[in-house]
Amino acid sequence: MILEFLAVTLGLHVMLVNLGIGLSAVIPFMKRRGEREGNEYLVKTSRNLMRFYASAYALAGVFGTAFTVFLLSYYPAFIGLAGNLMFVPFGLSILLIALHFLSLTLYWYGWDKFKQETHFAIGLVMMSSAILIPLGFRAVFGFLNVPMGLEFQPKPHLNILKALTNPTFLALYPKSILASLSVTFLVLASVFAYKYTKGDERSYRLTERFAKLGLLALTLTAVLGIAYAETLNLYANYKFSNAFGSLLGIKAEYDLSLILAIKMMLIAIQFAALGIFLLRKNFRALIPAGFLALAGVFLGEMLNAFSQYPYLIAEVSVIPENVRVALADVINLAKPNPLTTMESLYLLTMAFLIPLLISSVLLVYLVVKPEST
Amino acid sequence: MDWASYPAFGDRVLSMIGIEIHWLILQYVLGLPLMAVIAEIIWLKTKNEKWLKISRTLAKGFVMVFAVGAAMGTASEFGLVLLWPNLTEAAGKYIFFPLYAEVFAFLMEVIFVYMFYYAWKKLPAKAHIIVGILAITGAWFSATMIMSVNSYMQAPTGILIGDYGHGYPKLTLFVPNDIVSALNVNALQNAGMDVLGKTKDSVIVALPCSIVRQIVSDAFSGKIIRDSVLYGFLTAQAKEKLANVPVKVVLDAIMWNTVKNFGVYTITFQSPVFEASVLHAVMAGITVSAFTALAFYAYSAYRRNKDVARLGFKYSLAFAAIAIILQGLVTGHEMGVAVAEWNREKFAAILEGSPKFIKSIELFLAYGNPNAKYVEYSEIPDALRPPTILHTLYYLKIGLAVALAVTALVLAYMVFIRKKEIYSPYMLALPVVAQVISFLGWAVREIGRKPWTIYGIMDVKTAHTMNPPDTVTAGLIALYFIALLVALGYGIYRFLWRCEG
Repeated sequence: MILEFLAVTLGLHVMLVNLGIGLSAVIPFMKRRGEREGNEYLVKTSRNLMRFYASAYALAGVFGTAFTVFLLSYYPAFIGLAGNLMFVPFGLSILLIALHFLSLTLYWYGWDKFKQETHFAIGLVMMSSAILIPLGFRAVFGFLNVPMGLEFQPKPHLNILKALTNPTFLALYPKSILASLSVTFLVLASVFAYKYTKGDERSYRLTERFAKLGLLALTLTAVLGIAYAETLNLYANYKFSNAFGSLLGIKAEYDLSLILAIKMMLIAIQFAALGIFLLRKNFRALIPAGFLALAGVFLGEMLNAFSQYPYLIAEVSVIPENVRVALADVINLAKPNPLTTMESLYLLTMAFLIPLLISSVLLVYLVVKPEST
Repeated sequence: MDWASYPAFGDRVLSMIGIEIHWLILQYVLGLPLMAVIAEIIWLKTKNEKWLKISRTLAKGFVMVFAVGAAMGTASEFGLVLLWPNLTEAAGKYIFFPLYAEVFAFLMEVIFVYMFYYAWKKLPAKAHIIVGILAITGAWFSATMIMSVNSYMQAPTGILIGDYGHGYPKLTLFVPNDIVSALNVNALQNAGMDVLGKTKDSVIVALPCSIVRQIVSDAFSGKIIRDSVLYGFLTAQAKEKLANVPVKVVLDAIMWNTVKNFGVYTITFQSPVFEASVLHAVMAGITVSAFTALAFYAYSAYRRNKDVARLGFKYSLAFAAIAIILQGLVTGHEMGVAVAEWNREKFAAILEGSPKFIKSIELFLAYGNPNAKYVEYSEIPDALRPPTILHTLYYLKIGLAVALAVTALVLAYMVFIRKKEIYSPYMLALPVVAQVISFLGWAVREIGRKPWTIYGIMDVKTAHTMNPPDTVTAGLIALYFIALLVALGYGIYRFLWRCEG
């Protein structure tokens, strides 16, 4: 159950963060455009999106915290190791998280209270911080692919410059940001397409615009996805083999290629839905695309996190033999903290998690539901 | 001893700033939801719209600060991982459960705090109040989990207090039988270990904390048994066999077994200072919230003198007066008694240099006897001494708390008995004083634990990262967090005090 709990919390975190990054970019520009064109509909829509974003991002934060605390409980020695080495990448992300939540608070509660230019500037800070938060976290993920920059003299430490030139990180970070934009554009296109089919004529242009942006972002994400896969092939072959396994006829230790196959199928359906909409103006075809995009992100993150199973670091051959032996248990997902392997803990986790997940869906519903008069 | 002379001074200050900002903000999530829900219940009973307005304003207050408070909580969490990774690892390994359960509390907090604010006109009133109660439950549940871990760090379950000459303090450990068979029991007993009893699979011992500290230090610095203090306590046969085994393997086995015997889920809640600590912390949140609401409504009534502001002022004043009295006479007293009993080095440092009559009062409050015998600071071995700055911090805190309580009572008398209307912008100072008192309380608690990070188990040096930030980096990060706090304060003033007020 340990891996399932980690997967659920990480997956939900990443889905909501993807939406958050995209919305933090969409909202300030949508509002700005509405103000410039005197388009009340755009301003009102951006405000409704902001209300959703504020609550969704808080949930994203909680699931992120849940993931790290679960990781700490199940694999405490690994967190101890990471804490000793990862001050810069984690530290950078923390500083940006604090800035992001502050700018989000000021942007949301300062709506109509700041001058338009000032409010837009705060929106830009909100967007920039959202885009930069994953920089540190993805650097850590890059390190977990290939521990580049790990040096042992005069004491074990991380050489930041070397870590930042990790090719898997260089491909993964831009891919992640583009994927966030792609998912958000597709979700918005789906939402506005749904509203259009329910008779809201004003959603027509927004559906079209987000569908076009979605197509562009999805295409670029796919290209960068291939580049990321190639870096894994070259630098973290164990992980690449597990991810692609039988799909490419490669021998894999733990074949997760089924997840990859489903993800690729979902991407193909998204392209098809976008194509049908853009060529034939079929709004109904676009409605499921947003949901499929979110499902695709969830699966992609699972694949990225677990295709190095049972190791937390995929390519250990760059670590000296004596250190590798000493760390064998620390980076082994199959060897969790023995105190956390009790059935009662799993039952307790589910007893809390299931009703709280249902409540979080209710929260999102109540946030987006119009007020009764 | 000088506070700065303990290891990792810069990182301790940085942690203090990060955690204090988190605490400064989250106190409002402990107190304001309670005030908002009670105001909404009064509105439901009386149908007086002013109560609804008060409830909504208080809710806006805690929702506005919540996001940044939560973000600072994340920053504090990562700060602990990055600056004190060995402490974090030990917590995750041995006392993970309250941190694990805190995730559910945090999730509950986020869901219901936001639901309380966003669902105002979307849920029936009674359902909305239930949401508010769940928000309060989430916040207090969260505080309880974190305070249980902190209490364990102050006085771990199984800690035994006694004469320093006999090796006290000592830690109760359940040593697995297979490890016992490798130990030279006579050597350990000569070093101060007591055998307390046996279970089916373990021997229960009381091991001097000086030895525990060294074993933990050896374990987290990656030593093998041959290079550790443990080597001297092994049988000749075990010395040969286990020389190259990492000390951490042995430590983990003993600690896991000890935790299992005390209770994996309950060990931190058995800390002897837990109940007093959690009540004192939650009541601090309520007190600070009440004084902040009091200042807000006083300022608002002073500027515009609206009915709702006058009612809000009276409501907050009643809350503040009751909260600070309870905090001083009940939870604060219980906390003091717990410190005197279980953190006697801290208690000694507080009393060090106090006039005799003050000492007598403190001893009477702590032990019920003004002439009770206590451990004086000079009697404490050097290796266990906390910094003497505690004395100043503690009495500054008590002085300010007494002044704040007297102010609240005088205001309550003037407003409720003499029916006077007193609204002054000077009342804006009250929440600042309340926050300073709260900060000083934490300062006494945390600084008073030095030289330990986990009392009797892990010292500061062992807990600290092997790759700390340089002084300039740490200073810049501290300034950054302070700047964010100032920006948040400005936001609250601009969008809540000026607009709602």
